[in-house]
Amino acid sequence: MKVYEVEGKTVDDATRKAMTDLNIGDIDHARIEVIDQGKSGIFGFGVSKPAKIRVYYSDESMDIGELTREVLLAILSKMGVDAAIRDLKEGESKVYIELESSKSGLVIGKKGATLEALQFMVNLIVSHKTKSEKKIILDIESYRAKREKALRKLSREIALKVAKTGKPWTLEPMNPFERRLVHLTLQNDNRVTTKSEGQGIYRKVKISPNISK
Amino acid sequence: MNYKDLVEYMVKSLVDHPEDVQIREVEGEKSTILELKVTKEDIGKVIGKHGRIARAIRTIINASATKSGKRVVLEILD
Repeated sequence: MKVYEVEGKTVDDATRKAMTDLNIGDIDHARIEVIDQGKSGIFGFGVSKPAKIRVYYSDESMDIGELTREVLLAILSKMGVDAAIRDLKEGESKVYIELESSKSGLVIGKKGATLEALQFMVNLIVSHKTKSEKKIILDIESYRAKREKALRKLSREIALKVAKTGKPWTLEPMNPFERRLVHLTLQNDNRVTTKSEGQGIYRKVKISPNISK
Repeated sequence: MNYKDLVEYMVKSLVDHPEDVQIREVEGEKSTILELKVTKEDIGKVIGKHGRIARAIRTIINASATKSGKRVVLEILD
């Protein structure tokens, strides 16, 4: 939902202006709030004040969920992957899609690289076509939840090792979401400190022991 | 497997001038090379910051090529 404010001689005038500016054909597609009715000076006397309105409108001419489904299924079928959409939830700022496939390993890829690439690609295409800022999240067979659980477990294990040996340990490169998860998992662990190092796709988390008091 | 179709669909959905997208498929014994050509203004749209978009396209092609055992290479020409 977006907001647009405009002034005009009268409320009607301002409304017409808003419709043209925003390229809204049907007034029913927007909600209009009158901020100021405006005052016209009679015969040029008195103070004239412009009318002011606020327009709440949606800039989605297309159904984002529907388009996402279409784009995703087109890519998957061109990849030669037999897959279906099991669940699609569309929220205010996000679209969540759960896939199912007999070749889920192929869709996920090494450490989720293919799933990540697919998600990135679908986001790019949908935002390019609609100018929508909704974030699309792809999942398959609860891969994300499983990966999260595995990462949390790994983080705690490494933290224990670091605390025992007193030697820092650097994890393999991860994406921002996964690095954040490691930081969060060990946030309250006062035996170790976490820090991200490196650039771009090679950025990784280093777990270091805290100097004993 | 038609890699050309796959790349063409993704690239045409990303650029501002889909009519200027050209892809040539060069079939080799062990690998397939896809030569991609777009207009100057669209090059950034297929490469992305630090090559992020190009990398995503390559990851997706390679996932679909795993069964064939062939290597598929995407070359972006300018």
